[in-house]
Order: sequence, then C-alpha cells, then structure tokens
Amino acid sequence: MNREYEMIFCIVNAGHSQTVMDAATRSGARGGTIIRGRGTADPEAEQFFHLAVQPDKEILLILVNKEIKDSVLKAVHHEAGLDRESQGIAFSLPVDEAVGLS
Amino acid sequence: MDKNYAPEKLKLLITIVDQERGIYYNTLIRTFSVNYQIVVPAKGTAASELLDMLGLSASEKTVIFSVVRQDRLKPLMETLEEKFRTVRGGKGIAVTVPMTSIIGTLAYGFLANERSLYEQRV
Repeated sequence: MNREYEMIFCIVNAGHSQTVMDAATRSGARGGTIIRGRGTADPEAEQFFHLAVQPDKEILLILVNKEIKDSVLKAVHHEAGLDRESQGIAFSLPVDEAVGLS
Repeated sequence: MDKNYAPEKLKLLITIVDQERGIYYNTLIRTFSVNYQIVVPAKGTAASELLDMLGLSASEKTVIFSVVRQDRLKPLMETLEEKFRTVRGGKGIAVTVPMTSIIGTLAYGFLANERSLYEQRV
C-alpha cells in the first residue's frame, strides 16, 4: 500500500463548482469530477450557526498528491468556504490504492 | 455467529470512467463478489487546452461507488488497470478508501458477500 494520494471531497452550492476547481488547479490539482447531490441539515443547527443550507449541491471529487493536499484545501476554503456564497465544506480521505493515473 | 469467525475488511472503491462505459465497468466489478454499488452521473473537469480549443470544457462521466472485500481487491484493481489500458474508450481511474466501521451483521454480510452469516441467521 503506497499512500501517496488523497481524495478531496468538496460540497458546495450548485453553480459554484468552477470556483472550487479554479482554486484547486491554481494549487496544483490536475482536475476533478462533479456529482450533483442534495444537501440536508438540522434546522436547529442552521439557526444556531446562522446558516441557511441550500439543498442543491455539487460534490467535487479531486484526487491529489498528498504533498499538495493542504494547499489545495486551504485554497478551496479561502475561495469557497462555508462563510462564502458557495457555502463549501471540504475534507480529505486517505486513498489506499490508485490505478489509471498517468 | 461462529466465535472463530474473522470478518474480512471492506474498502470503498471509487471508479470514474466515461459515461458510455459505466455499465461495462459496473458489471465487471460485480464479478468480484461485489454486491452493492452506487452509480451516479458526473462531469469531468480535467484541464486540457485541446478540449478548450474544441469548445469542450467538461466530459460526461460515470462514478461508481462499490464496497469491496479486502481479499478481492488486488485482482480487481489489476483487472481495472488492464481494462483502462486496453478497452477502447475505457480509460478511467479507480481509487480505494478505507472503511473503518459498519453496523449490523446483515449489512456486513450483504456488503462482504458473506453468505455463511445469512445462513446462520435463517
């Protein structure tokens, strides 16, 4: 097992995926895949944090070398974080194996 | 449950291929004792000056989320790597992510294709 990659999951309001991809590619990411989804949130938590979670979401899967994971996450958070119009949440998961990468 | 039973670890396999090959890879992955998969449409965003020149900024993809037993993973990944290389229009990527917890013996048995667990329940 050679853990040289991480998978960044970024969930943003629909229509904001380009903001995320621009930030990610500026930090060295080669590309990503976008899935449409529906966001749900606890109403009490929304009230507490003064957030209104929009239901239409785009989920970006961005595979990166682990050396650049932190800089990609920081860039995405800066451009498309929860306090922005994108209302983005990003996290990374370790990738155990990967094939098909040139 | 047999007290000597040791559950096989599970991994989440994420496979991203061109849309027209989604069913092909979904069927292929199933042959490796994979009982549960989620297939979703998606868009690829890899930067390409050529794509930009042609007015194609994104390509239609299929993402397949599959739950795979640890002991079936190596032959499955080797097969995927070979197919990505050799199948026309079949280029893709596949990554695995560890699954650390799962709840319910029926859920585990189904995901791991561990039929002995189901037979014990009946």
